[in-house]
Parts: sequence; structure tokens; C-alpha cells
Amino acid sequence: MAVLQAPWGSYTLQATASAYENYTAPLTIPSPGEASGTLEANLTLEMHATTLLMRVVDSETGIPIPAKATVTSSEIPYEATVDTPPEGGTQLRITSGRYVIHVVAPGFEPKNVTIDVTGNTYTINISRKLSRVTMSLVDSITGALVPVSITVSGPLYQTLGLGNTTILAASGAAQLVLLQGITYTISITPSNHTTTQEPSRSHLETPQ
Amino acid sequence: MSLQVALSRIPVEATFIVVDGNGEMVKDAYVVLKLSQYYTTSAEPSKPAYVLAGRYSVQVVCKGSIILYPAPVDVRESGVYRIVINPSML
Repeated sequence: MAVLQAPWGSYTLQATASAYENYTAPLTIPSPGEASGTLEANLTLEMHATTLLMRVVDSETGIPIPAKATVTSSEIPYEATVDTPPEGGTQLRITSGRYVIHVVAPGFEPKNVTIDVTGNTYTINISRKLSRVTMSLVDSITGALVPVSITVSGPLYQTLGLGNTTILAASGAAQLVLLQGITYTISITPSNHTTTQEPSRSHLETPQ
Repeated sequence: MSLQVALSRIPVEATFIVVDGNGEMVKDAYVVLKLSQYYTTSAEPSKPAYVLAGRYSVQVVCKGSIILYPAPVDVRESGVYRIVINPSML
């Protein structure tokens, strides 16, 4: 609230406030013969709209990660959830101000960041949740370890360089490093072509 | 996290023919195939049998006698396998 004192006449009223669009309107203060001495005016300011550009990336490699980002504001009632595509960022048209962004992505630690949105691009780094899987490949009849080659495929496995696509387990045992909470396809082929075992293919879901 | 994957063996169709030292077929001789203490199977004389591929120890049963074949037999693929025994052991 502000009180101004001015002689009668025509004015241009301007109001500015952080995070709001500038307000400009004509104002006429009537002469003493036309009205009483007090004039009240309510100004409605529009919040300044801007574009929030977000990229969610793997903290180790900087590779974009498909994620779900929930944007909330503590200043105004606002909440929106958007998907960030793997090929790049996503954008959201919002008013300027302070926001909290909650990011979740399968295989990664959830993250909260607080940012002051001013129209820049924000890159959010998220950390991998890794699961180490020790595999042993045994003959179903004898229980003996069988030398095999293991082919792993699944979301981001190759992109993030978690391991070789094909792993030779000459001793019949192998250790895989995988993201948690992801379903991988594991193909197991006996490495010796004269072997007696059948190739095996299965899905492995790592626990959260 | 540890994971153990059990690999299945390939089934093959194998016919076992028991012959003596002269190459004559020994009639009524059938073979008992032992892969491990958990898997033993047998094959009737000259008839195809479905067995799991592997290296077997072989016993020949004929005329009330059991002969332990001295060498292991590798059954890797479908086909005919000749088991040569010494007739004096019968």
C-alpha cells in the first residue's frame, strides 16, 4: 500500500515489482471542485512469465537421462510434473520465482534441487544407484561351473558404459554392474561350441 | 546380489550298438549311461534313445553280466555310437 500526494491533473501511473510485469495506466486526479480529496486505486500486477529449461544428466558422464521432474513453488500454488526426454531437455512455461524440482529416474538416486527461475537452462545431475550382481553358471546335472559368454542388454547399459555388452566368463562366474530397479535381458551362451549346454536367455530385474 | 544360473543340457537322439572284437553285433545287449550321480539313463539295443548330451561312463548289460566300458563316451550330437566289448567278459 502506498499513499501519494499530488496536485490534480493527468498522470501516468507505473508500478514495478520483482517477478511481476511492469504496470502502466493513466490516472486522473480530479480538480477539488469535481471530487473529494482521496482517490483509491487497486493495481493488479501480472506475474512475469518465463521458460524453465531443464536437462537431467548422469553425474558421471553428463549423458541425458530420461526422468520425471515435479516442479513446485513455495511462493505460489503451483505444481507440474514433466518427463525429460533422453535426447535432451524439456521446457515449462512458468512465472519467475523460486521452485523446488524433484527428479526421479529408474536406476538413479532421487534428487531435490531449489532454483530461482530466471529463464536459464538448468542442468540437474543425478547419481547412479548401482547393483553388483555376481553370476555363476552351472550345469543343471552336475553342478559344475560352465564357461560361457554373457550378453547384457537393457536401458542405458551401453550408453553409460556400465560394462562390455558381451562378457566372457571362462571360469563360469562373472560380476555385472547394473543400475538398480531396471530389467535387463541376459543371454548366456556356452563359450565352447562343442559344449553340451543350451543357450539361455532370461530377464534380470535388479532390486531397488 | 548373487545369482546362480543352471544351464540345461542339449537332448540328443543316440543309438548305441554293442559289438564284439570281431565287429559282430552283440544281441540283447543294452547300455547304461551314467552322467553323474543325479543322471543315469539307459538305451535298448540298437534303438534310438533320447539322452542329454555329455560325457558318460558306460556299462553294458548282457546275458546277466555287467561290463564296465573302460573309456568314457562323449555323446555330443545325435547319431550312432558303437560300443566295442571283449566277448570273453560276457
